[in-house]
Amino acid sequence: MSNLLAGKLADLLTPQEFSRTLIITVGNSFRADDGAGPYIASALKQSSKLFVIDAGYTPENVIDQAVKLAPGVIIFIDAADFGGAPGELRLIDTGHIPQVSLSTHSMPLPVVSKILEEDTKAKVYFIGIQPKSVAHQEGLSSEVEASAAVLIQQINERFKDA
Amino acid sequence: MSKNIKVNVEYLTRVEGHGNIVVNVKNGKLEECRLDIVESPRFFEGMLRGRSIFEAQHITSRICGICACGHTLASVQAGEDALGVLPSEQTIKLRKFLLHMENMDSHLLHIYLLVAPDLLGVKSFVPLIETHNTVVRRALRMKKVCNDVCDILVGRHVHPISCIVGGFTKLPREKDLDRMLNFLTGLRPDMEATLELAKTLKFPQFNRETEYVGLVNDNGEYPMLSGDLGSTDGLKMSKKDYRKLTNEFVVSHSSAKHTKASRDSYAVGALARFNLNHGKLHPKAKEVAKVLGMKPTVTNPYLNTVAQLIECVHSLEDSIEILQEFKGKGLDYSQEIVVGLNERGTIPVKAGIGIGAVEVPRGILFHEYEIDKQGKIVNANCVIPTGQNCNNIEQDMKALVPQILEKSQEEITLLMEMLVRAYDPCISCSAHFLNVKFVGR
Repeated sequence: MSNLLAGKLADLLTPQEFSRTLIITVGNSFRADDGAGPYIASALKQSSKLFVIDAGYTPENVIDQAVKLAPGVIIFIDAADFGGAPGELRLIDTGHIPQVSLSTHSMPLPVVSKILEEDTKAKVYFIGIQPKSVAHQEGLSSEVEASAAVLIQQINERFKDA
Repeated sequence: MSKNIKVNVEYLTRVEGHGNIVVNVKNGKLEECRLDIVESPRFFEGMLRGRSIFEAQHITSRICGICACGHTLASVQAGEDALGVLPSEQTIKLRKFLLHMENMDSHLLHIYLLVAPDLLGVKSFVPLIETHNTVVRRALRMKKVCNDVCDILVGRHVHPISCIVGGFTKLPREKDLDRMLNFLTGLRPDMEATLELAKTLKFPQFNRETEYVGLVNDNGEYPMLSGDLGSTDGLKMSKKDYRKLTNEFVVSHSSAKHTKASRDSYAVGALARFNLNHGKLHPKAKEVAKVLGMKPTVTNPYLNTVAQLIECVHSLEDSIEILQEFKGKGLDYSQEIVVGLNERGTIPVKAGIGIGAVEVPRGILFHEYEIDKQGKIVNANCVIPTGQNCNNIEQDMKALVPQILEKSQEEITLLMEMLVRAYDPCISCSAHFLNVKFVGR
């Protein structure tokens, strides 16, 4: 696990502070590790504290759905090329999202996040996963799959209902 | 004028395409002016060989994530032409509706995300969230409606599933018609607000006469799915003769073939359609054209964006009327078909050649397939609108550069970028389309 998960992310994923957390995953499952987001979404367990939306490659189309959930925290999970080791997880500053987001969606994520911030007053975070490949193929690399598994386990554990 | 200018515009986009603008002016004389298309060949025609005509549309829709429905419709039309299948009136109306949704979606993307930032003085769509918050929100709302309607109609908002040779595998139910109608009537206020925004936008002044090409017909319908091929220079021919219109030729600096018809180049797209068929637009679209001062023949390529907005109004209103008609008389669900790869021989198969000619967002799109007696594709040819526009863009550039030599590098850069963008070339992420680099000025 990266330093991110050991530190900041652990705090981020502490649900006690917020009544409702929403995870929005982004990515294209036909582009290798760009499918990390949808892969993670499929394995997350929704609970009374956690809501999950897989936005695929059109995050702008889930704005209404997300706003209706009235989350206190929104976490985007997306493949992002920040020059790390394949599978590395990083909490990405919103100002860097346009440069590193690898998803095939055409709408810049900062635009979507800004609207969600305005409409929900939620705190918004981005978790980037360094891909090994975004070639036209299905399935994740072993490195990204391993990191995704850790993230899934962490999130499911922290947000499970009592 | 003794000015020397050397412009190398190199852009890097996502996987869908790469191109460069090259301008070289020496002692005030234009020596080089090219639009280099350096995109790798994609071999879709090769991929189609040996595949069933009944799966062609699923393959060709992947040519483009924005025009997926247009490619599907051209593919299905070519397949039906080869097989001798005549679609029902209901099928044709639903296809027209589908095409309206894609054209509107694509035009809105171009108007708001690609063109508006230039005209509102920002570098991209992202800063608009701070300066034009309501505009951004409106753009997102409008695009979502188009996506949602496509999702209901053909199973996905891109790469449609249910639109196939012979008709539709699933037809919208009563509640689906209601939902789509609610979505679209709810879009009207946003369309009006878009018009108000458009009234405030100032487009560059540049005119060059060229030949405008598109579908034409002898009835009252604004032709998008059927008709002959026509041009503002008076050409008229059957779609079967499309090669005599396109006259494709290879140039060394472009991996996209160039085309020409009656003169050096021709243009396709919303402006071409407007110039050819403005009298057949929906009355509300005609009113918008009048308000925006668009009177054919419009020869300013920058105004292609305005023609797109006019078409958005046309598509919206015509779609609402189609839905209201279906609401009134109902759909014939016995026309739902399950074809698959035609394993059960639902559709008789024969050898033949078929051509599809469809007006997609960026202009007229041609698909031609030759199939054998088993329905396998032997040969395929696809001529896309952006390819047809490349030569015309280059001719525009050659005419424009001498007119703007007195401007600063930044101004020239912006005008050149805007000119290329005006054609709405089908390149993903064109909001970051051109990274301009001047050399030797």
